[in-house]
Order: sequence, then C-alpha cells, then structure tokens
Amino acid sequence: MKSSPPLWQRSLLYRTVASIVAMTLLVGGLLVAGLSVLVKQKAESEAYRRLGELIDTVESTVRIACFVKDEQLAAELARGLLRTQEISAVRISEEQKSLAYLERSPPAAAPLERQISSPFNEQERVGSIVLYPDQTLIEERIITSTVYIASQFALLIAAVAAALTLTVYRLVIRPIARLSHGLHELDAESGARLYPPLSHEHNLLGTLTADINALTARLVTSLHDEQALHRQQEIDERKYRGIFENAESGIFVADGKCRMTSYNRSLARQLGLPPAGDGNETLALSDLPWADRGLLPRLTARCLDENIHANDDFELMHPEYGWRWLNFSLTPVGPDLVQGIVSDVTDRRDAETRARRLAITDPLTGLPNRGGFEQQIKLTLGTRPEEEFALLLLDLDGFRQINDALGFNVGDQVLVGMAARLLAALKSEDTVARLGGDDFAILLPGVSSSISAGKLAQRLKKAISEPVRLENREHGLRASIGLARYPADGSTLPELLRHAELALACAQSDGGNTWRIFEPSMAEAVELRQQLSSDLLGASARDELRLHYQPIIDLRNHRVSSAECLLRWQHPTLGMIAPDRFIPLAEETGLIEEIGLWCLETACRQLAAWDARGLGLNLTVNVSARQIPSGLPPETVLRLLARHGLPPSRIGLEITESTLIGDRRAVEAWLEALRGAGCWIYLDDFGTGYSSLSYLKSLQLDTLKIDKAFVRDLNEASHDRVMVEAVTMMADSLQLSVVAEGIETQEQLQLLRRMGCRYGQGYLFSRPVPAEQLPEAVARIDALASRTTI
Amino acid sequence: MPRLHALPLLLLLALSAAHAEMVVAVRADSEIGPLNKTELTHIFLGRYRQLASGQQAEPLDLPVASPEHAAFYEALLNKTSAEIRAYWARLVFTGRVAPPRTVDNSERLQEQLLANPRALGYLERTKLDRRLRVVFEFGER
Repeated sequence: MKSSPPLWQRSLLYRTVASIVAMTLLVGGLLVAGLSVLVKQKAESEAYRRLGELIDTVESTVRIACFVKDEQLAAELARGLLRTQEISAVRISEEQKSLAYLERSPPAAAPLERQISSPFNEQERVGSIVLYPDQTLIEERIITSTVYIASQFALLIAAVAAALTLTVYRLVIRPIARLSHGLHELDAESGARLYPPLSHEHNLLGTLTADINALTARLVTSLHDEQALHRQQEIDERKYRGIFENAESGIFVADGKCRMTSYNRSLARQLGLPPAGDGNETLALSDLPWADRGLLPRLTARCLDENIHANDDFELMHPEYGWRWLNFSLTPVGPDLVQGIVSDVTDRRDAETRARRLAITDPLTGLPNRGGFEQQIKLTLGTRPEEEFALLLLDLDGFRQINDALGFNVGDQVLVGMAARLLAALKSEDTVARLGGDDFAILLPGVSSSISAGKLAQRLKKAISEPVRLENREHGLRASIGLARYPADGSTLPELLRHAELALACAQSDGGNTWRIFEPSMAEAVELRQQLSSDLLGASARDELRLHYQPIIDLRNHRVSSAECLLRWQHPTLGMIAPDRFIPLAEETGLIEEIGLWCLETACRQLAAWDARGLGLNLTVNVSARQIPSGLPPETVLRLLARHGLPPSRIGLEITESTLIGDRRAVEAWLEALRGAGCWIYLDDFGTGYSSLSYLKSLQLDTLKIDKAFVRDLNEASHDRVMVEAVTMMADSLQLSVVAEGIETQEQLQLLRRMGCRYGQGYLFSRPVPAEQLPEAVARIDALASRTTI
Repeated sequence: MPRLHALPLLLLLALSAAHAEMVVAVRADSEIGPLNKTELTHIFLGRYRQLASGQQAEPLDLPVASPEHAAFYEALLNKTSAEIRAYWARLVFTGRVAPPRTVDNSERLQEQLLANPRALGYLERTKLDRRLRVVFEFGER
C-alpha cells in the first residue's frame, strides 16, 4: 500500500465503481424517464384543474353574462381571466353566438370547456365558457420538474457510488491487497503461514486465507515429493546407465527401420561398430554386412506389428572375427521403437550344427544313420517326386556269430570293412547308410527295373562275400538283400521301408545269401502270419490243437519201440496246419511255452491211457529252444510225469541244435537235471544246423535224430550215404543211439540197417496218426515184423 | 304614536301581501298575450324585452323594499329581494342591460299599465280592475 496500487487493483476498484455507477445510471435513467411521463401528466392535469378552479370563481358572473347575453360583461370577465398566466385564450358564448373572445397567444393545447346554465334554472343551458391553457407554461413546468427530479437522482447516484466505492475499497480491495502482499512476502517452504486481514478472520476472506494456507502446505509437500522422486530418478538413471554401458550383452534402441538411437559398448564390439557417442548414433543396423539383409528388418517389423517379443539368430560378417552368429532379442518399447539385446551365439550355433550332423551320422562307419537315411529319402521324395529309385536293405548273414565268437571290436572292423566295400561297389549318387547292427540300407536313384536291381544286388552280394581275414583266419560273409522300388512298390517312406524289409525277411527265410525284390504276395504272407498268430492265441483253449503220433521202429527187430508226438493245429477255417507254419509264430509270441506244456501234458495222459490198455510204448516230445531252460523247468516235467504215475524213462525230450546257441551253462543244467532223473534226451534234426561235433561229446545226450534231408536221397552212391554212415559210426563210438527220420523206401531201410542205424521212422512204417489209430498202426507194424523175421 | 300603531298594521299588511296572490297584468287592450313563467323570468331579469310574437314588453318593478316585490320574486324565482338587487348590481356597473323601470307603488304601477299598452307589471289580484288583464298568475303551480 505504500507504493502506488498495482494495475489489477486499480482496475478492480474501477470496474466495481463503474459497474455500480452504470447500474445506478441505468436504473435512475429509467426511473427519471418514467417519472417525467408522470410529471407531464400531473402538470397537465394540474393545469386543467387550475383552469377549472378559475372557471368556478367566475362562474356565477358568467351565468349572468350569458343569461342576459351581455357582451360587455363577458369581455370584462375574459379580460379578468386572461390576467392569469395559465390561460392563453378565453371564449364566452351564449347559445347562438360568441359574446367575447380574447387571447394572449394563439391557443396550442386542448381547451377546457364548460357549459353554463341559467342563474335561475340549473336545467336551462344559456351558454358556455372555453379556456385555452398556456402550453408553453405547462411545458416549462414539466421541464422544471423533470430537471429537479433528475438532479435529485444524480446527486443520489453520486452519493451511492461514492459510498459503495469506499465500502468496496475498505472491505474488499484493501484486504485482498494485503493478502496479495502477504503472499508475495510468504516463504512457504520455511513453513510460514498467511494471516487473514485484520477483522476479516471469520468471513470469506478468513476462509480464503485458510484455503490458501492449506493449498500452500499441499504444494510444499508435493514439491518435496517431486524433488525426492527426481533425485531417485537421477540415481536410477546413473545406475541403469552403468548397467547399460557395462553389460556383456549388446543393447540398443532402434526405430522400425532399424536405425539405432543409442547402443552400448558391447554392441559396438559385437557388430564391429565405432563406439557410441561419436555423433553416428543414427546408424542403421540393416546396412551391416549380414548374410541375409532382409531378416532383421522383417523381425523388427513383426515385433512392432504384433507388439510381441521376438528373437532370432542372424549371421554377420564381422570386420575382425569373420562370420559370427548373433542372437537378436527384440522387445517393443513404444510406437515405432524397439529395444534389442544382442548376444554372440556363434559357439552355440556351431555346436548345434555339429550335433545335427552327428545325429544323422553313424559314428562307426561315417555313413548316414537311419535318421540321415530317412531324411535323404524324404528329401528325394519331396524335391523330385517323379524320379524313380530303388531302396535296398542288406543284412549280413552270420555276422552275429563272428561278433559272438570274436568280439565286438572285430565285429566293428567287419562293419567298417563292409561299408567300404559297399561304397566301392556303388556309384557316387547312391546313398549308403547303416541302419543299425549289421543292417545296411542303400538308396539307388534311377534304378527301377527288376533286372538292373537284381544285377546290383548280385554285385553287392559278391562284394560282401569276398573273404575277410580276421585274426589270421579267413572268414566268409554272406548277405541277404531285400529290394523295394519307388514308385512301383510304394510311394511313401514307411511303405517302402516295410516292403524292403519284407523282401529281406523273405530272402533270409529262404536260407540267406540271396536277394529278393518285393512282391505283393510277401505282404499277403505276412498278413496270414499275423492272422495265424492272433488265432493261435486261444487255440489250445478252444481245443483246436491235436497230437499225432508217429511210431519209431527198432530196426533190429522191426518192432515199435516208441512214438514221436507231433503237434497239429485244426484251424477252424484253414483246416489242418503243419507245425512248421505255426511253431515259429508261437516261438515269436512266447505262446510256445503254453503250447509246449500242453503237448507234454497231453502226451503223459495218452501214455497213461495206453499203459492201462497194455500198449507198452515210450513217447518223445519236441521241446523248442525257447522253452529251455525257464519255459519248461525240469521240476514241471517231473511233476507232470509223477502225476500220471509215469517214470521219467517213459518220455524222451527232443531238442534242436539251436537250443545249444543260447546260454550253454543253463542249457547244460537243464539237460543234466532231466537226464539225471531218467528222461531220454534226443537231438533232433541233426546235420541241418550249425552243427559242431565237439558239443556232442560234452552234452548230456542219448540219441541223435538224423534229419530226413539226409535220408531222402540216400542210396548206394550218394554223398549222403557217407554222411549218415559217418554219423552212425561216430554216434556209436559216443554211445549214442541214432534215429533216422523220413524213411520212405525199403532201400533206405536196408541201407540204414546195414550201416548199423538202430532206429528209424517214416512213411514206410507209418505216417503220424491220431491217438486212436496208433494201436492199430503198432499192431500192423509188429505183424509185418513177425512176417519179415519169419 | 299613530305611527307606532301603524307599524303592526303595516307588518300585517306586508304579511297579508306576501300571502296575497300576485298576478302579472297588462292593459286590457294590450297585444301581449298570456305568458309562462320562463318568459316572465326572461322579461323581468333582462334576458330579452321582445316577445316571441315580436311585441316589445316593458316590465315594471316595484321598489325592492315593497312587499309585492318580495312576494313576486319569491313566487317566481324563490329568491329574496336582496338577491335580485345583487344580481342587478353586477349588471348595472358593467353591462348595458338595465333593470325594469321601478315605480313607487301599486297605484303608480296601475297608472303606468293603463298608460302604456307595452307595459306589464305585478300586483295583488285584489287590485285588479276591468281595465287590466292578467297575463300570468301563480295559481296553477
């Protein structure tokens, strides 16, 4: 208040006063205007009232003047009236004519007329008097009155305005000015408070002061918070800047066109860029020497478009380190802005490449493995589906024996050697792979005819069968080969592989060392096998199995000494099925144990029945290699015999050479247990398998059965005669009996007898017959014997 | 003393005159015919002296103090003689209209009536004789 009041303050005062004055003027003006109308009306009515009064004062005289029509009297009266200021003209008339007319000025306003009646009779009208008011005078009066009222109002307005101005100034302007001044001087941060203007503590200004204080307090608090936050942000900024700069990973921020706005030292190192901060921050990542320049922009676009985290590996030609793999992990951080983290993944990528290569390679031979091979075929099928090729599967016959006999190291050498031979025998576009074990697969592009395929198979077989020298011994290997052609034998990889395997299995089951091309009948055979296999499952329960019996003859006295139990399967739809068709299936599925037991059980029951009828025969039962030793434990056999009241010596167990390939010690224990108990042990099909004379001596055997293959072609001149003779002699020396199987002619019988073969069986004596026919067959043979001996 | 005796008599006369029936008469051979009250008023109070028939009329008045004067104006206008005198006073100063000629008493009035055929005047009915003719009488009111 000491200095001149500021502009806004003056303005506030001015505006308040101006507003008050304007309002008052407006209202006053309207009032004055309204009043002036009233004043005019009042002045006029007053004038007329005065005229009326004037007339009243002279009326009695006028009556007389009119009554007697006295012009002099009338003129005298008019003169008298004109002396009055308000009147400008007077006319007095009797009924017919004017008695007097006098004027001071020409009449302007409306006249006042009064009818005059006779002085003696109120009812009798005798004239009239007309007074013209003085308009000028009336107007003068109106103006005077109006001016008077207006000036009163003007004075009032001036007084009110002054009073209001003073009031506003004292009650509003000055306290606000004080508050304003207080605010200017206020040091809010030190906690100072504003005090309300004196004597305004409890009105609106007091409230305003309190509000300002509250607001100030809040602002100060907010300011403190803001400052604290700012300090914290500065700390964080420094912290994160440190992390950013010193991170191992490359970090950058770039826009949608891969132009970097900032990046750290690590990124510069990884990408071979100049360090950041040299004014080249707007460097575009996509301009770097990538193996494929389009990939990173695409990843960036995907990251931004789908607003997702995206990452991928890209290969970059680093100016110092050469080709490097870099992993880019992009995160969208704003519209058209991504944050990227980059790490060098070259080592990982190399390791992955190695692992991928390893995964499809056989480490031993260096050839592709099954995975690699299938990949190759898929590639061929995918890229050149119209191109023909042959798929060849090759299995080394006898490799397992070499492996067993000479160990895995030698086996591995053989495999490596064979792989080399196969490669040498093939063209460069052919693919050789080792599927596992001794299985090889070969992809032969362009081979479609069975003739060319056959020639190739022949060539491979020859290459394999070249002798190999192992541990100073020459070994001969043989190969079984199965072939399937694309597209003739199948259009998909699994189909081709299956068909080639079928052809291979066919070649193997035909004795090996041969090749087969897939034929649809192979698949049918497999299907039949599968059907039989499932049908066999319930065969014994459904009572479809039968035992037939073939007598074994003592060739010295031509009498039946025993009979071999032979299994038959009466299939409900396929009829009688020979054991060589279903026994292998039973062996594969494990059903052989159940069936074997059934055979033994049935044989024992039959034997006991025949004993009861006085038919004193022994029986031999075939035991599969799969049953020995645990499938048919010796105690089970002995318990069965005992249950039917049979001594073990009544049963012979026929085993095959393949039994001896398994666990030798377990097999020997099994044989020992049963033979020790009294059972007879026969070695069946002698001479067909992997026969080794050495084990004939060590094993617990009683009888050899010479395979019918040797007997079939037996005559005086044949090699087989020598074979059989040698076997017989050897058996004799080992104190083993010999049974010759498949005797069909008298010639064969005579020869065998001469060789000293003790027993024989075959169609010459009897075919295998059902149990009920056996006594009859025995009787017939015995009768024949008595005749022969006779 | 006779004067003292004469006063009550005069009063009595006046009273009797007041109560006496007043008539307006003209010479018997006058051209003036019967008149009504308004015509009589206009003629006696100066409004006009010419009758509708065109004949001039010359009204005659008795002194203001006379009982006939009072009786006449009282009967005609219900006004006192003083009021009539005041009325004429205003006209006498300024106007040109003159009041009716005044004769001293009834006898003189009779003489004037008989002497002038245009004259008319009021008198008591009892003072009529054959030479005079009544043109107005109050009896009918």
